[in-house]
Amino acid sequence: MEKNYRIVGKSVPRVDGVEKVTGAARYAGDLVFPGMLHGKILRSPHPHARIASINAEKALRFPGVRAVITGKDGPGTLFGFLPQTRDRLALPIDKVRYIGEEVAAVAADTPEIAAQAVELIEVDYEVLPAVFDPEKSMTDGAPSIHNHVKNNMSAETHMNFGNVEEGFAHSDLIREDTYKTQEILHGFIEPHAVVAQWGPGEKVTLWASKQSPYIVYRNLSRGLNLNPSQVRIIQPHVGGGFGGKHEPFGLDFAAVLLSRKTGRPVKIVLDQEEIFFSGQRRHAMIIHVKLGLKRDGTIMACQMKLIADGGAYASVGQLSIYLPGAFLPIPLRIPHVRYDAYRPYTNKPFAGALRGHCIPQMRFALEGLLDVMAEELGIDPLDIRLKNAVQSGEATVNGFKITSCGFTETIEKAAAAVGWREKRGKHHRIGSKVRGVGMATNSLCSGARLGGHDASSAIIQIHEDGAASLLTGATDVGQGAMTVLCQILAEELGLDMKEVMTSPVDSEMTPLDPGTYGSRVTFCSGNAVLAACQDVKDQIFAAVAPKLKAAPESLEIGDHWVYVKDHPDQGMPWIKAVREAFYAKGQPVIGRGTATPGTEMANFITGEGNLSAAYSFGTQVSEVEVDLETGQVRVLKFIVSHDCGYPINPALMDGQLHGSVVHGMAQVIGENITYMDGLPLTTTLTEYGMPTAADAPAIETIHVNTNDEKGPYGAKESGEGSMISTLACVSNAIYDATGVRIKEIPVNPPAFLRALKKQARR
Amino acid sequence: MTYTPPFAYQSPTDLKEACELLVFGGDGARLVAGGTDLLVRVKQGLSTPHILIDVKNIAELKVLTFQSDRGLKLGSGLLLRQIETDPLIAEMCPALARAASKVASYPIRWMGTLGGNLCQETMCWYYNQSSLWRHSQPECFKSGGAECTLVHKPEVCYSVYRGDLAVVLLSLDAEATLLSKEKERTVPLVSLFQGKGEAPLAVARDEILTSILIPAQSLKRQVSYQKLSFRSAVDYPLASAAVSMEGEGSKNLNPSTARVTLGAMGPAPVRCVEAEKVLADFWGQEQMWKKLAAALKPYTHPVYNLSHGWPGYRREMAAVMVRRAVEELQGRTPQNGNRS
Repeated sequence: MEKNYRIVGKSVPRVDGVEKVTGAARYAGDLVFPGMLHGKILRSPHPHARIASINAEKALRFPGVRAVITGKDGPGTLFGFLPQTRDRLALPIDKVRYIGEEVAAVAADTPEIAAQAVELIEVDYEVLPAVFDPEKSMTDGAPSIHNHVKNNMSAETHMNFGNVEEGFAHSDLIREDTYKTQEILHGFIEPHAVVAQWGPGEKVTLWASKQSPYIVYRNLSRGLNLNPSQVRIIQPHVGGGFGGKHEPFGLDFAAVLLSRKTGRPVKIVLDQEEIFFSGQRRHAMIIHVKLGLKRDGTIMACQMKLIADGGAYASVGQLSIYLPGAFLPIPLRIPHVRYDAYRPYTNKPFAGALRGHCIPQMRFALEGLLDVMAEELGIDPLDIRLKNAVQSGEATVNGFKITSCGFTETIEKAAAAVGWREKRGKHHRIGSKVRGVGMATNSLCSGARLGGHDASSAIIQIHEDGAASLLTGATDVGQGAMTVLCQILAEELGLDMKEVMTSPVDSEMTPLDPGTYGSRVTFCSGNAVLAACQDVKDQIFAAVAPKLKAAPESLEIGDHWVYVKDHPDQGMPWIKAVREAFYAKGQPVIGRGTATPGTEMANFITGEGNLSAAYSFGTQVSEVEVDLETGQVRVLKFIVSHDCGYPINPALMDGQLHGSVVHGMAQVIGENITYMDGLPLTTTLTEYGMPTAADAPAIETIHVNTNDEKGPYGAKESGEGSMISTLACVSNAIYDATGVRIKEIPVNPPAFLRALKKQARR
Repeated sequence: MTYTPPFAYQSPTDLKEACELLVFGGDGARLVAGGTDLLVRVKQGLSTPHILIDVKNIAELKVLTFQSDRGLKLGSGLLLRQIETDPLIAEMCPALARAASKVASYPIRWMGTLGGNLCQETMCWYYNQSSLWRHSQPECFKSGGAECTLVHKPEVCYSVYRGDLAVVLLSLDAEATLLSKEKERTVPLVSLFQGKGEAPLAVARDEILTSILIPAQSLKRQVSYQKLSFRSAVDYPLASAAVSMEGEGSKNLNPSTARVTLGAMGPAPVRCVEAEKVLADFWGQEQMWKKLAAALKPYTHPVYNLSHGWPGYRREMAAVMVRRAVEELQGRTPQNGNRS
């Protein structure tokens, strides 16, 4: 179906584009307030230690220092994602649990003074035995990191769908193996930053770099023992989130407590080094996977045991380990599934959400082993995926209801674009280098119901001149959400992009919103904007219907023109209609709309239930080149084929797909944090190995449009889903090139070279 | 926010003034040009100068002249980007231009200079950390402690020299001229690298490296520089090598004149005389590569102190880089060491 809209479906420039490229956009770190102080955090040098005493006398005597705070300045109330996982304090009081954990902070007249003074704070520690290996942490006798749980288990999940024993009994080929993945960073270029102002009254305002301000306001208020309405979060521009800016961190609490003590605004901006010392990051995982297949390639059963390194705190860990299990049987159908996941604490910075939230690691193991078995059965990886591809109208074994689904088409188009049948298995060699292609698949929710309040809302105010302002609680973290929402608004009300505007999130003004996660903003907030536009239309139509001599229900809006549906000439200009509405009631037109993720709540412990109203589907194919002498892998090309329903802004959608490729590719070919007994030796993005533009492959995107019934203009997820397949896609291509199966990432060149040599001897 | 401690700043316009400022500043004085190496260390508290003497505006340091009897003279103040793009260098010593093009990134090459690149400090992931990081850990030998905290050996430092240009220039028998208030001296460039991680450069506190000379005889050499880095851009080498020998084009190479130099294998770039002998004695023979790799080993001292820099791997890659350099000289398909 060919759609033709004025603004939706077109790659209009971002609403914040000019502001950002000219440097006019203000981020939290840019903000300056009269009397503002600068904070600096003192971090623990020990991975596990009791805090015996803290002496801040010397720091307080340093000229220009205004205050020092420690954990004791907080109320001592625990906060966390779920009632059973509340394990964090504003700042730790009795003990520290990882190197880099916030212990104290100083506020001073200048950042220079704060940086010097913070080193004068004397802390007496009693060092405790520490544990860094998640498997060791789970065993009896390991050092106890939190006393409220047994065997350091911060969260676990056990899922059982179908009958996995029966599934294996009916399989012709059964294989099992273990795959390992490392922790990686979100890699946002803007580090965490906050300005906090206590007062007037018992109230605090934060200007902070957050991607889900309402998660912050709930957790922060609990950690400060305040009511949420006493915490006001104002959202400046955000320089990237990728799942790493949902929660309040030590710096937020430190800034608030320092401001309360001094009565002045306090700014704290982390540097990139501090990001390596503090939460969060992607869970490192050990994944044991067992798969059963029929001779014809039909997947019969999957059993998985997953151990996720949680680091020192629970964070959203219960959700983190739910997701890989829940997404096991999609988009490749698996009728019998058993999944056991454990998330032990360790004495390291804590892990949380990151683009695809733990599903990419699972997919790396699953689609790696699937390729191994396909080869044993003599089936092309392409054919085995087509064979098991879920289709519209079916449900997964755990209850995901598949509505719009272009999955098979994404596989076929991606394979055709790369020339799969011609390239696969050819080991094309150029000098010391050899090339190969790999494939993997993905699916993700378009927003999920996580419990509690879960609706997105929009308020649209029409101005006297006919322009429109949009208020939502959704955050644009750079992905372009506000542009997409403005496009929907402009399309619906017949306006131009320059006539629509948004305001940043302000928890006191904007409607409550869950946050920017689970690929929900376009779908949920987009539907809320649609509903708010309908409310505006209803008000305008009611006001102008008498003048147009038509029933309100028969009216429609076009390009700056309100008219009778069947008689487009019978109408009036938008601006006249607006004034008519204003004068008729003597009040401005304000539309409201709300949308929920549209499902019942899934059970995070058992994994049952339909998580989302719509799922995205995608396939990635990559072409890599391996240098057989150096063990280095270069990713040459990526085909990203994605069913996002309908791209409201194709260029922004491509940006998301490109980001997923580079972010995921980096995890396979080398991003890494090296620790020495819990101490990160990797403390810069250069050492870490974040790819430069010169390392990025050529990326071709293919949009498979299925026009989802429930999505705004048919749109579904596109932000994180594609990364789900990237780890598996690159490692499968390395196998095709070399015959060496990558079971542990990142690729370690010396080990890889040894494997290549062993392979060559065969 | 990273704290930069305060320092005085002077920007002399001639060498005499710069030399006097160096004497005046004493131990607290540091020369700075592009600042791409020094300022990072200042911010980390690894260098605590009281006065920075900026030599960027000294015209005498930007000389670039060719004399057929003497050779190619390069002022230490030449930007890396100039070395990369200057037509005279491209004609006289294309390998140097190519090596310069592999340094860091485009913006950094517009800041960094030849002198700064040569006088680069050595690196180690235990040492190159912020003051807050280091203060929470025992001090290593380079930062004033008794032993190398990674290897646990007393009074030794394994930090790594990772400059690109020195490796090429060493293979061309380049000479360095240094000036102080008292005197000027010209020495083989190789003698500036004393091989001590804790104090890598044999340059006196009051001296300025003013120029580099590539002798006329060396300009007749064919040179190849190979660099293995983790990423295609920005990164320092994990292993690097230059091989030069006399000859015209790839046909008439004279292996008995070979120079083999390695970078990133220890606290100094090194000339590998034993490897040169292998090239001279076994040129064109099947066993040459194996013997070459064995001959290189004693010149490599990697420990696990660099990101993505596994020691055995770096040692193995040194041999691969040398082989690729030889192969390039022989006119086989050049294969860049890094991903590019």
